[in-house]
Amino acid sequence: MAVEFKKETVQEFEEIASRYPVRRAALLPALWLAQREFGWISPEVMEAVASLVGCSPVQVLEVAQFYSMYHKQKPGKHHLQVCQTVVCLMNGSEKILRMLEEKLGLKPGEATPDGQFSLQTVECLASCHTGPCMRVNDIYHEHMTVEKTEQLLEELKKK
Amino acid sequence: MEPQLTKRFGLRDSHTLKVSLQTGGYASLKNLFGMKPEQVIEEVKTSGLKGRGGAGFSAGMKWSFVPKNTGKPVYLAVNADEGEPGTFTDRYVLTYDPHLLLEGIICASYAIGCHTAYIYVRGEFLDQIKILERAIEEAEKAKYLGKNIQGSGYDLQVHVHRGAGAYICGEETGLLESLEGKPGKPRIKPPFPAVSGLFGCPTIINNVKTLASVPWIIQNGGKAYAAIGTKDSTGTSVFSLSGHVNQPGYWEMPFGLPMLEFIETYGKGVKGGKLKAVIPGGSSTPVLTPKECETLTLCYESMQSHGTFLGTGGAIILNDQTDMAKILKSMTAFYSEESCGQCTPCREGTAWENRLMKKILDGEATSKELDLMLTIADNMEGHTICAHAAACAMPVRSFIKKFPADFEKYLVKNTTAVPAQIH
Amino acid sequence: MVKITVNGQPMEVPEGTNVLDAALSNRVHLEHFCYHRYLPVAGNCRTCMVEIETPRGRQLTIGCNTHVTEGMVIHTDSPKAKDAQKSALEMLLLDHPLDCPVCDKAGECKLQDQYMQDGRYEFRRSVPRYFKGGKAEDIGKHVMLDQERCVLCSRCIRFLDEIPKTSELGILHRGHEATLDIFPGKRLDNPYSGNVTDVCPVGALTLKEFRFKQRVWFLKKTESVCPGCARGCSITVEQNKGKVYRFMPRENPEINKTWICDEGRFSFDHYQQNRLEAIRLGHQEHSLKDGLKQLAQILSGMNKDEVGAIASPYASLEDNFILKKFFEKRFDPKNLAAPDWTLKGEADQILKLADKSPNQAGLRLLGITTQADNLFARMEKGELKAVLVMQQDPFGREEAKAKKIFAKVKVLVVLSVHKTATVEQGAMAFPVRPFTEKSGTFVNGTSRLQRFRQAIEPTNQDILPASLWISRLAQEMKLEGFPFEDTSSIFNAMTKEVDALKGLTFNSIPCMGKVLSLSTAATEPFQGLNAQPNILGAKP
Repeated sequence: MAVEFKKETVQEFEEIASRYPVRRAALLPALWLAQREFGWISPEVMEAVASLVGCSPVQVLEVAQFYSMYHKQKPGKHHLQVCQTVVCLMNGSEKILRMLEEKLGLKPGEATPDGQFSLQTVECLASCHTGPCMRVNDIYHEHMTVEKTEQLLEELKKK
Repeated sequence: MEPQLTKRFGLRDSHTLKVSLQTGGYASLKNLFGMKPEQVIEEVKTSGLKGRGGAGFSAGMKWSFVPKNTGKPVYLAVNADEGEPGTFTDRYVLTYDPHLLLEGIICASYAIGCHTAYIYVRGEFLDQIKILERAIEEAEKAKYLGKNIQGSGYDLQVHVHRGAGAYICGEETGLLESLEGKPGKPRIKPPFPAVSGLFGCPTIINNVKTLASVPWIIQNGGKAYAAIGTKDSTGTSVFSLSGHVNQPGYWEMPFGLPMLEFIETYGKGVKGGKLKAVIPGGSSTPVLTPKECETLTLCYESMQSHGTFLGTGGAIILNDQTDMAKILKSMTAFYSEESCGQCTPCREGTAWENRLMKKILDGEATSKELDLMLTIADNMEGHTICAHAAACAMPVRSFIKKFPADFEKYLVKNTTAVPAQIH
Repeated sequence: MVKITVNGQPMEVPEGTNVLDAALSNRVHLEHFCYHRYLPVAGNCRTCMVEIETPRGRQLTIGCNTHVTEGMVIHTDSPKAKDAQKSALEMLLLDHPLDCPVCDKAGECKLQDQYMQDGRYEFRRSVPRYFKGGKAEDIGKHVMLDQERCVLCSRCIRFLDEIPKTSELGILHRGHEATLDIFPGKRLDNPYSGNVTDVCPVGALTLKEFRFKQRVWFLKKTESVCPGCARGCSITVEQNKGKVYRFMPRENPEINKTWICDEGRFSFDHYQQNRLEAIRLGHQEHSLKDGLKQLAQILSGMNKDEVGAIASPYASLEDNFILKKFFEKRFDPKNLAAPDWTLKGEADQILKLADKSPNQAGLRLLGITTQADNLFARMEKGELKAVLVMQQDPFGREEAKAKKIFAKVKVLVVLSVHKTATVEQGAMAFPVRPFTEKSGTFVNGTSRLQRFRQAIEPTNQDILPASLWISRLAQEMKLEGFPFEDTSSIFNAMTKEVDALKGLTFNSIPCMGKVLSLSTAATEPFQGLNAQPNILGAKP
C-alpha cells in the first residue's frame, strides 16, 4: 500500500533540500519529516522517501537502520529511552530499566499492546552530571530515580 | 578570570540577540572585517587555540590546510554531535549562548573563505536545535548572517542539520557522511577533509567550544589569548565533572588547574567513598589512578605526559566502591553498540571485547581471556579507519593493567571448571 | 615511472599506482578483500596492511589507499605488517560459519586462500558464536544470499552503484549487527546481476545456476570470447569431463574490464542444448564420410554459377575464410554473401551492443558482402540449384521471406550448431561445432581481433568445425589448397592473405586481442582503404 506525503510536507522538504548542493543530503531531514507525519518509518514510508529524495529504497533503509532515533516499528504514545552508558549506569540507571521492564512487561525494542508505552535503551545523552537521564519522546528527564520514574509513569498514563 | 565561553550563562534570556548585543555580542566583527582572511588564520595560530572536540589539534593550522583557488566552494561543518560519555558542555553553549557560537562561525568561515556553514547537532538535542534556529533567524534579520553581513560585503548562510542518534557521527568524516545523507561511516584518509570533504569540496570541521573561543581572540588578539592558560594549552575551556562527586557540573577556567584540586574545590570532593580512579577526558581516555593524579593538571601536555589525553575535558570520577570490571563492561558495550561496522578490527574487535567482558563477569573466564583482551586491544589500535577502535582499546588496556584485582576476582581459579570451547 | 622498494626488492611502477597493486603486479603476495581494481576504494577490510618507512619511523597503513611516491620503502612481510594482516583475517573468521563443505566458493575463496597462506593459527574466540544472519536466501533471478558468510567488504554494493547503477543492495544496521541485505520485497534483477557473485570474495553471494553443481578445483579453464554480441567480452569457459559448468568473465581492460552481462554469462548452457547431432541427407542419417561423398558428387556435377553460399557473422574468421576460399576456387564469388539474419537487441551504455553476432566486422575484414539482393534474385528465379547455408537461420528469422527465396533451390545444404527451422527445411544438414568446441578468432564491433581456444570435445567426432568441414568437402571434390587439419593453421594461412593480419600467428595474438586497422563505419566490405584481401588463386 503506497504512502504519500502531504503537499505541505513536500513543500517543507523542498525548502530544506535547497540548503544543500546535493539533494541526497536532505535524506536525514526527510526521514525526520516522515517520522513526524507517519509516526514511524515503515518500508512503504521508506519507498516514499526514496522517490522524494531521488535515491534507491535500500539507501533509505540503510540510513533508517543505522540511526537509532528513527522508529522502525510503531512506537508507543510515550517512547521511553533510558540511558545505559557509563555514568548513568554508575548512578543506578540499570535499576530504572529493570523496573520499567517489569512494570510494563517490556523488553527494549518492544511496545505495550495498548500502544501506550515503548521502551528503548540509548547511549550517552550528554547529561552525565544530572543522571540517571531518560527521554520520553523528545523531552529530557534528569535526576531520575526508581521512585521518580514510577511517578513519571503514573503521570504519563493519565495523559 | 574573565569568562569567555560562559560569560552569558546565568543571564536571563541569554540566548536572545538582544541580550547578546547588550553584552558585547558580535563585537569582534568590527575587527574581523578589517583583517584579511590570512591574517585571521595567523591570529588564531598565534593564540595557540587547540580543538576542543577531543583531538586537540591546532585550530589555526587546520584552517591553513584549506587550498586556495580550487574553484570549489569551501564549507564549515560545526560538530555539535556531543556524545562522548562524561561530556555535556557543548550542550550548554548551544542552550545559553548560541549567538556566541554564530559569531565564532562567522569568524572561522571568513578566515577560510566559506559562505555556507552547517551546524550538525545530535538528534537528541531538539531544544538546542530550536534555540539555534531561532538565533539564526534573529541574526539574519539583524544582518549578522546572510548577504553582506554588517555591510562588509561578506556573505554567509548557516544551516542546522539534525542528527539521528549515532555516536560515530561525532567523528569528523562520519559527520560529513551523515551531512551528505548517508550512514555516518567515517571515510578513509587520504583525502583529508580540508582538501576534499563535504560534497568533495574543501571542508573544515570544528567543535562548538573551539569556534566559540574565536571571537575573543579576534577581539583581543592571539597574543592575549596565549597569555592565558599554560604554554601549550592556551586560553580557557569548559571542564566538567560527573560520576562519584558531590557536585557534578561544568565550569569554565583557564587550562592548568590541578586535577585533585578540581575534584575537591569544584566537585566538592568524592562522593560515597575515597577516590579510586579518574577518567580524565571522556570515556575514550586512559584511566588514571589517584597516585597518577597527584601530578596531573588540566591541560593537554600534562595529560599526555601521564599517558592519557585531555579529550573533551569531561572527567569521570570513580570511588573505591566501584567495580572497575563492571565499568569496563559498560564501556565495551557502548563502543560495540556505537561502532559503525565498516572496518574489521573495530566491528569485530569491540564486539569481541564486549563478549569477553560478559564471560569474565559471568565468572567463566581465566587469565587467558584477560590476556586475549589485551591482545585484541593491540590489534584494534592503529589498524582502523578512524579512532573509534582505539577509543575502545585504551580503556580496555588501562583498566586491566591498572586495576588487575578488580578483574582477577572474577577469574576461574580451577581451570578444569572452565567449559569447553564453544564453536 | 616511480622507483620504490618492496621487501628489500627495488622495482618500478607507474605513477598513481597504489601500494597494493604495486606489490601484486610484481608478484609480492598481499591479501586483500575489499579492494577491486575497477571499483572505488573502500579500505574497510584492513587485510592489506603494510609498513611504510617515514622520517618519523615505520607507519602501519593499508596498501590499497596509499599511492606510491618516489623512493618509498614498503614492507609487506615485516612482523608488524604480518601481525596486522593476520589479526584482520582472524577477526573476519571469528564468527564465519564453517560452511566450506557446502559452499560453492570453496577453492576460490579469499578467506580460505589467506588462511592457508598466512593464517593457520590456534582458534581462540573463546566466547559463544554469534550468528550473523540468514542462510540461502533467494534474492534475485540468479543470485542467492548467505548473510552469515558476508565479510562486509561492500564490493557488491560498490559494483551495483557504479556499473548498472541500480543500487539494490545495502548494509543494514551498524557495528557487529551489520548485515548485507536487499530492500524487503525487491529483487536483484538487473542485466548484470551475476557479477556480484564474481566480486564477492567469499560465498555470501552465489549463483543459482552453479549451486552445488561442481567443485571449482575440478574445472579446467579455457581462454575464450563470448559470442553473444559484437562486444566480444573476454571469458573463460570452465568445464569438467566435457561438460561446461559456467562462463566466467576474463579480465580485459580494453573490452569488458572484469564484467560480463547475465545474458552472456548464462549462455553457457545454450551451447549444450538442442544440438544438431546427426548428419541427414533427405530423411536418412549418414556418417560424415558418406555425407561428404554424396554432397561432393552433387556439387561436382554443378556448373560454376549454379551454386550459392551464405556466410555468417556467427561463425569464426576461419570458417568464413575457408568458405570464401572454397567458393572462389570452384564457384562464382558473386553468389557468396552474408545477409544480415542476425538477432538485434538493445544496446546499453555498459557492455551490450545491439548486434547480437560476434563477427560482423570479421566479414568485412574478409571482404564478404552483406548485400544479398542479387543473390536472392537469382535464387528466386531458380538460377541457383544448390545453396550452402553456414550457421545462419533464415527460416527462423524471416520465415515467409526465406520460403520465397529458397523455393526454387533444389539442394539446400545447412551447416548448423543447433536444431533450427532452417535445418528442418534443408535437404542436407550437417552438424558443426560451436565456439566452445573449436579454436578460432572473431573480430568484434570495435575492430578488435580476439582468439578463443577449444575447451571441450563434441559428443562425436563427426561434428567438425565449419572450416574443417569445408576443407574436407574441398578435398573430397579434389580441389587443391585445403590441407588443413586444425583451425590454428587456417589462421596462420589467413595472415598471408589478409593484410591486416600480417605478422601475426594464432598463438601470438595478445590475450586481450589486437585492434586491427579496419574501418568501423562502413558495413560493406572495405574497398581501397587497406587493399583488397589477396585470396589464394584469385586473379588480382
